[in-house]
Amino acid sequence: MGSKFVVADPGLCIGCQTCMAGCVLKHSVPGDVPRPRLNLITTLSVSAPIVCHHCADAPCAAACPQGALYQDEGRVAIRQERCIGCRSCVLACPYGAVEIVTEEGSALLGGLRLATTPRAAIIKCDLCVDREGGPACVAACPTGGLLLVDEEELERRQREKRRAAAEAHASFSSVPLN
Amino acid sequence: MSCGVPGMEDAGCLFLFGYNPSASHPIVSRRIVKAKEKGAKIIVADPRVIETARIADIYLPLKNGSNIAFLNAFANVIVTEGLVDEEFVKEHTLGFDEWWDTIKEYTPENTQEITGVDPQLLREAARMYATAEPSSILCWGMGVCQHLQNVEAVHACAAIACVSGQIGKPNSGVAPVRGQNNVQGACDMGALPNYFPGYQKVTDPDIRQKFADHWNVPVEALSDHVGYKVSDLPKLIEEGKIRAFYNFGEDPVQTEPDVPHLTKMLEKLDLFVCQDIFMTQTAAMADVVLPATSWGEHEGVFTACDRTFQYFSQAVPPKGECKHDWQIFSELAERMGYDMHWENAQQIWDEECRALWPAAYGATYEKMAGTGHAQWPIPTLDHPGTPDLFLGGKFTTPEGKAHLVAHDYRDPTEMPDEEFPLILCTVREVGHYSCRSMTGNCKVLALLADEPGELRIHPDDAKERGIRDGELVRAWSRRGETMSRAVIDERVNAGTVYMTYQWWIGKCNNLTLHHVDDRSRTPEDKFSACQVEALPDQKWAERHLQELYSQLKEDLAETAAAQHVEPTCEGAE
Repeated sequence: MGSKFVVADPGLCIGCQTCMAGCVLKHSVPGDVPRPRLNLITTLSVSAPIVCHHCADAPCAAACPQGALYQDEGRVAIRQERCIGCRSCVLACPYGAVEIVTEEGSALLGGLRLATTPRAAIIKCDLCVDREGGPACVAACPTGGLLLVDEEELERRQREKRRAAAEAHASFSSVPLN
Repeated sequence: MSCGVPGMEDAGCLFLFGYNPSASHPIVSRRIVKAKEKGAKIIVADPRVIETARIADIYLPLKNGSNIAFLNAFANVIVTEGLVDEEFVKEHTLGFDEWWDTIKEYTPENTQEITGVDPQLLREAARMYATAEPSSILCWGMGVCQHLQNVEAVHACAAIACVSGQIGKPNSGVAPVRGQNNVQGACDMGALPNYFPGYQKVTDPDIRQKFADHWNVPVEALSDHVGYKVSDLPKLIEEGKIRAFYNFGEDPVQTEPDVPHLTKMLEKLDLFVCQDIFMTQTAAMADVVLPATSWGEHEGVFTACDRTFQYFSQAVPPKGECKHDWQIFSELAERMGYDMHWENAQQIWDEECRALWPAAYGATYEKMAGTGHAQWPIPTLDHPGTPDLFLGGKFTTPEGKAHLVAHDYRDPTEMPDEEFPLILCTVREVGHYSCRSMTGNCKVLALLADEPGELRIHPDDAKERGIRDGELVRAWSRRGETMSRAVIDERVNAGTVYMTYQWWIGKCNNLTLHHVDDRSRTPEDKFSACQVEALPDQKWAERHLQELYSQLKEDLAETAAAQHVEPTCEGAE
């Protein structure tokens, strides 16, 4: 199971929103909704775009009564046509990374155009699954401050931290170490 | 800049004073992050917690408008704590004693009330800057230039670099990062009232003769005195000294201060010509609009803030009636009876710019081919270019030495009072460039930030006024009023609100004060008094905003529609 997600280094982030522009551009195609899937948040000490973590046990997917959000090879994917716009996923997501937008769509009955009805769409990171070269935001960041974290990266970081922790053990060795 | 932008990565200390690179120059901001990663110390002095303040070793939240008090105290610490580079001062500067006569009166302690900066922190910053190895760079932006004491602050910054010996060696000195794309190039090419191209004075008879000979005109045809500056335009129209205005590549109705007054004055002109690539609000007022080409439709050379020439090529052919700026100029000149004829941009570069400006002679198209560049001074064909100026302390004054000049602090022109208790400071935002005529037409950027822009306000000031985050508010001053969207922002200092200047409906320049300094005539855009209030009926406000915006867009489109007739003028084929 190869879970992946995009995460920002708040020290390298310069708040320029190029990631958001890259995201909007990627999704500015017919049939998609041109809105950023990640949002720059600034506090006194932190600047970072906040984006879906593709949780292994995703609360948004669990909250969806229609199965519009589901696990797809370690990624929380969307079945747009199933969305009823109930916004349970918005409430459930602890990252605030899921959004529901409603658009006026016209319903057709045969060739007859009926009154417009609102259509709901789930807006959240899809990891640019159909884009060669991976997420557009990661490619767009001018400081290299966005990282696509996968199992391998997590393992590498853990190995590093465990190694540093092991080194620290030297200080309380009962016999002197060389 | 006395150093190159890439060299900023290799300095030991970067001191950002009134400069927010993340909003104005993200590419420079990236260099600063890299410098930090390489171990450079970062000092930030700014009233706001700007992005770089978060990674600064020392952040100094100084009060708006207190620059000279702050810089004088900073210089005072360098002297009183023995951080002066005595040899550099002795060998390469003039006027130290007189400079010190002023500076000695300003200490971190006795200026604290004006600057609001903790004296200990200021002392630490001065030590960090003056002692950094191998070099420090003092960077500033419009937070210096758009204040009442702007030239004074530039003098102060330059003197600080000199007395601490942080200039005259690689990757050191002063980095005034320019406010606009290619504004360095515009200055280089003589788009100034006092210089011919290459900073050659119009008041120098020998220089006038040189240009007259090259241009094949009698020397009397060239003006022998310094001309007017654009910021004085409304005053000069009012006084009847200017009756015709040829505006080229600028949208003053958006970017100049006190727009209500400026608009009234522009209406008084006998002739108003505007050369632009879009139907801006300024162009819509003009008697004649000359449609020019955009950067994608022509080739040319830009100069970056660090004196680097870069060539850019034409990507697509011009549309409709549009012509290159140089074609418009030469056709105008020809109709006025002067034979100005060029085949292409390269000919102008080679036969005018390089031929007339010795320091640019070596900047050939060959050197700039592809992603190549040439950094002036580059006087000969085999010269590699000059990233660092003043190496070895050799300055360009007649004596070859730096002149140390100090000034006393003065309060900004319009201090806040009971009626207008807030300071208005106009700033940049990263998503839209300058007046927004170009980036506003980019759908992706418009999706991320659109009318009426933002008014950033401290939580306490918002609470006091019953303003909630994201709501539309009314802001007004002695000049006029505007509507904006409040963003409650803990990064801004209490007592000051920040607006960006590119919004049509949320136009902060309806509020700004038109006051210019005596030397540079730069408006005091960073400091004027205003008031802000919540709008009780948000639904009405949102609807009103949409109506105003749609109406303005419609009006501009209608004015622009005049171009959709078949071109009949000569040379249109």
